[in-house]
Amino acid sequence: MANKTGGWAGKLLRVDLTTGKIWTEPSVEYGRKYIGGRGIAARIAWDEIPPGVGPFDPENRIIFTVGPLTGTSAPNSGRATVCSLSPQAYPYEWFTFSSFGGYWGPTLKYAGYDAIVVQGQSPRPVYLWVNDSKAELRDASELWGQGIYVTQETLLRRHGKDVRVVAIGQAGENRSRIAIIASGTSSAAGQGGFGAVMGAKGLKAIAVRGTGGVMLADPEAFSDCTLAVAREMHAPSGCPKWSSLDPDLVREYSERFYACTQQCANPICRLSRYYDGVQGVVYPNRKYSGTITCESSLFGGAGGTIYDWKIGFRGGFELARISQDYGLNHWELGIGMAPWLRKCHAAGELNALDDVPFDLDNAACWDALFRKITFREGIGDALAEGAVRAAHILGMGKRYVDDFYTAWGFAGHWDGHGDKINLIVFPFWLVPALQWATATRDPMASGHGYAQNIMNWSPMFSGEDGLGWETIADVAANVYGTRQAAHPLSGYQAKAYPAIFHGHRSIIKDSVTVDDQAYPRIYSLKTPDHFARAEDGMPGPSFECNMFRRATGMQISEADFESMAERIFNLERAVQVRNWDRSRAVDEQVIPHFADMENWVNPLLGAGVGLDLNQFGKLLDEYYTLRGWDVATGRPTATKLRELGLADVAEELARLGLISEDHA
Amino acid sequence: MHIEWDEKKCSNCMSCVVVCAERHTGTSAPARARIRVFVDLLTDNKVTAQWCRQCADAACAEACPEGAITFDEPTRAWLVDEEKCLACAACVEACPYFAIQLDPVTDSAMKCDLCGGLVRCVEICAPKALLLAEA
Repeated sequence: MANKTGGWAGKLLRVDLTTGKIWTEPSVEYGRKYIGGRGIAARIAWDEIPPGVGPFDPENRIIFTVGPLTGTSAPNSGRATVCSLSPQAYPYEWFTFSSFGGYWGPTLKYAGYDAIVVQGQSPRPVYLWVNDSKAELRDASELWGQGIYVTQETLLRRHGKDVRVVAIGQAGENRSRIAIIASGTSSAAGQGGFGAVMGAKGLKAIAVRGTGGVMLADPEAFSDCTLAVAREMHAPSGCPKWSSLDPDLVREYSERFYACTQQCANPICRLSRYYDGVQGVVYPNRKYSGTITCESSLFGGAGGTIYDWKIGFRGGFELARISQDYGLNHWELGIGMAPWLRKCHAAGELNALDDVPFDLDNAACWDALFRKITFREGIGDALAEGAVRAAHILGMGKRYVDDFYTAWGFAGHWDGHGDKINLIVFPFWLVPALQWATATRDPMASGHGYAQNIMNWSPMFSGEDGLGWETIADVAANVYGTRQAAHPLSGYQAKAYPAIFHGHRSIIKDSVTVDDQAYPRIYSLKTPDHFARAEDGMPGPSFECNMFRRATGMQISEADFESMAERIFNLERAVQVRNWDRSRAVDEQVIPHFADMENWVNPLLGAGVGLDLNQFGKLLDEYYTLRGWDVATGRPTATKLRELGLADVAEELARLGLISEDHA
Repeated sequence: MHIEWDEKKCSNCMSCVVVCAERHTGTSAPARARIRVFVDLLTDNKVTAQWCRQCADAACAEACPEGAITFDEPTRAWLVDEEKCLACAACVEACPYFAIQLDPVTDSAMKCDLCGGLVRCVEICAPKALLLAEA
């Protein structure tokens, strides 16, 4: 019987680097209100990061969190979420989130923690050593200046092979705003520039040994449920274009599928591969081994597109390893900075990276670029600030920045305008447009759930292997209540609800925690009507809630679970309103980007379009109204916040004059 | 009947390990699982596993001074009688496959019992690196 509490580890680990003090706090009450992960982090941000604090200030918190499903048999639950003020975000260095897979998150949970909250600034480089219930700060002076691989090697040698590490490279130490926090050979919290926050705090790494386990409220029902979910995800499933291994690469480099996060239920995906002994191109005497966990981390680029670097598999693999070791953000470099630099070059604004001729079709040029950014040499000092800031510092290519950067300092993704590789057409990018408008970074998890899911299953991307447009609309009606939410000829109709739905799903994924690419389950090849369901009939979009209930023992309805996500979304927005004066006017800064002509054309429409300002204005009205927010200001109303159990937040925002007290 | 593990197909996802612990101990605790998978973090590879072959001549059973490990005909698995087990670890030392260990919580020998039927690690394995083999 499910009568106990499970899922959460039960403790927060608190670390003050200024004083060296380490303590724990109970976490279950946080979890029962804010799920875990991003939810707990949002509450800590509200309570502890006042307005005026910047990412590099000691008062900033960097919060490493896991959730009630992390490290359990819930498929794809091996993730950790990192939240902090973002050095990468522009023009506001606001509070945002990132996440990473691999084994570190589960290990933290097995050590007995739901989060590590780090504050302050260490007077000398340190690392945090968490050995189950014991945690201490250790001197990291010999690690400072080392790359991510050597740092991990050293810590594993010192503390044991079962230890799991997150670390920053030299890029983070030198406060590059595109510095990552990494684990293993390719897992990283990339977006946000949080590596620089660790660098500013003098925190080189967190090594964790976790030998315990996670209690489950109802272990039998839970593992029956996770097995049902896993079976639904087992191949053939997911995107119709799951790829197979390349026989040549299997022979030469032992290519094999690799689960980029613990409990992955479908490693036969196109994203994740392991390679062994790949000879370098820039450094032919070196051999590299490791994984590629996403196409984004392969610098080979994409043939026939603006991202075609013509450096081949070996060059691309080598560069992925090098940038990972420095702790640079692959994704940002590949999809944001590199095409921007190429455009600057094509326009005659950039001929060389100092003494190195500019040629991104040459792996050695990339290598020089990474080194300059990481060590802030020459032009690299400006580029380390990220392309958006670099354009201003260098007075170079300012008019091209918007071609690749959708908003808030983050490169485009699934928005039909920024990135030039992910096929998405009108009207489907309207949902990402709404999500970008209200986001604090690229709303990747939201964009994947809606736009990527629809486009990948569509005849445009998957041809005969996919689903027809009418079938997609039929399936989507199960989730969004109307076929118009996902029909290619639906225009501006019914786009606000999916934006909200997937905004909440993104919160749930980063809070329970599960993988963004795997959830929510919507479309399927295994059911007659193509709506994803487990064999026992459990609907795909209900998987997270069902696993959450059985793990935690919280007997809540799906509507209650959804309102937990809504509570977190509103709390994040409240932090935005209080600390950065976030409003509708700020949200509307994304409009010019989407007003440009889209990158691809919906074949059923026959001609490309940009955003219609009048219609999008009405769509924003609809979005704020559905959220229960004030339509003029784009801010949560006091009534809404109280309804979500955030009365103290409503009171504080009203006291500051940022929202008005409702007369309800 | 026993489990077979194929290194080439294994994707290091740990599902088998975690689900085994959940079914046998009610907790997601890899240290208490009957099947173990190890990954070298520095390469994200070099995966190794420890699992029970349900040997015809089980060294663990032979080594046990208490006769606590016996073959169960219905499930075709060697089972540990926790009442009889004195946690002397003779079985742990005897097993050439490192497939029997002492449970760190109960301090009793623990090994694969083939789940008494529906073998969870095999069922959950996405790349089919784990299979049930006859004999």
